[in-house]
Amino acid sequence: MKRFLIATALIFVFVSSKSQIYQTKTGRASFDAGTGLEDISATVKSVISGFDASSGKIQFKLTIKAFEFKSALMGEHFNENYMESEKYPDSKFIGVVTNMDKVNISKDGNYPVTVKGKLTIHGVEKEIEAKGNFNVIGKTIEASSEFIIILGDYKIEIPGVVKDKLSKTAKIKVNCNYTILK
Amino acid sequence: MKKWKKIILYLFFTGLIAGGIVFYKITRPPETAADSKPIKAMTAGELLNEMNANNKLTDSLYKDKNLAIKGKIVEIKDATVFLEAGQNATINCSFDSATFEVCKSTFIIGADADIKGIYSGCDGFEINADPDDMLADIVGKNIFLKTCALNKQ
Repeated sequence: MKRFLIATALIFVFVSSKSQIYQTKTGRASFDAGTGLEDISATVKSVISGFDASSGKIQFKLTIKAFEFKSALMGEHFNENYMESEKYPDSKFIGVVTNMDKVNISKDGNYPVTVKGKLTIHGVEKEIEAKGNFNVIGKTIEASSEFIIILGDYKIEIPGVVKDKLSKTAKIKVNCNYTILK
Repeated sequence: MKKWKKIILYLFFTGLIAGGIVFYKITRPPETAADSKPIKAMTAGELLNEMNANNKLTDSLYKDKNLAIKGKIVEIKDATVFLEAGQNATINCSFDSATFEVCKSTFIIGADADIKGIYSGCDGFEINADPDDMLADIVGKNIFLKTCALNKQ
């Protein structure tokens, strides 16, 4: 009887911990590095991401070539000259939600979150902290965040010719509609 | 005087043509799957087999190329159609919202679809050496096609 109860408890713990994992394969990320002289922006619609609500661990990954630009030439320059996407094909973030104590995943509502972790772009890993928002609706979470990175921190060099058109920083927006892992 | 006129006209038209070429190159929209014919047609399972055999070679062969993929729809979310490739792998076909609106009525979960798209990369095919990386376990293997369209309309 005792063994049965322990086994049942273990199964319950396993099932409940697994049900705390959320995922998406259709997250969106965009960047804006224009200066006003030119619109330099692009969006990727295939960000894969996982979020473990029991630990607060959160992770994103995207392929650089998946960015969609308004102009083909801009995309070519982005991939060949700035991001070197053949050499560094993807970008990722591994971190944690630092204020999980203020997020109630089982109750619908808007929860401001702070995420801290390692962001890898262009093969360079850097510690970052970003503010965001979790909108819990039933068993889904709409997560969003906006933050600024300094291109030089990730060894993304701006040639002198486009110095006036390309900002030294990029505004990054991330939106993910998570569903609970079945 | 006539000679000068001719030279000026020649320079004017040469400049106009050169300006037109530069303007076209700068503003040329990116190629979408609808603009061109696929370089290869295959099933989702066949693409996965190629990836499993040598993901780096397959990735370099198809990067930025238009591929036509047939497969069973397992999920539709946010203007993306997921084709089942087997072994916890999917072909993730993302559409722009206007194209998706036009053809979304033809997509039914469980039915077959024939979709063409620009291959933009893959994920989950490398051996995961990072103990912090939880994505491979929860999202499986993914092959990405962007700016997709129906292959046979």
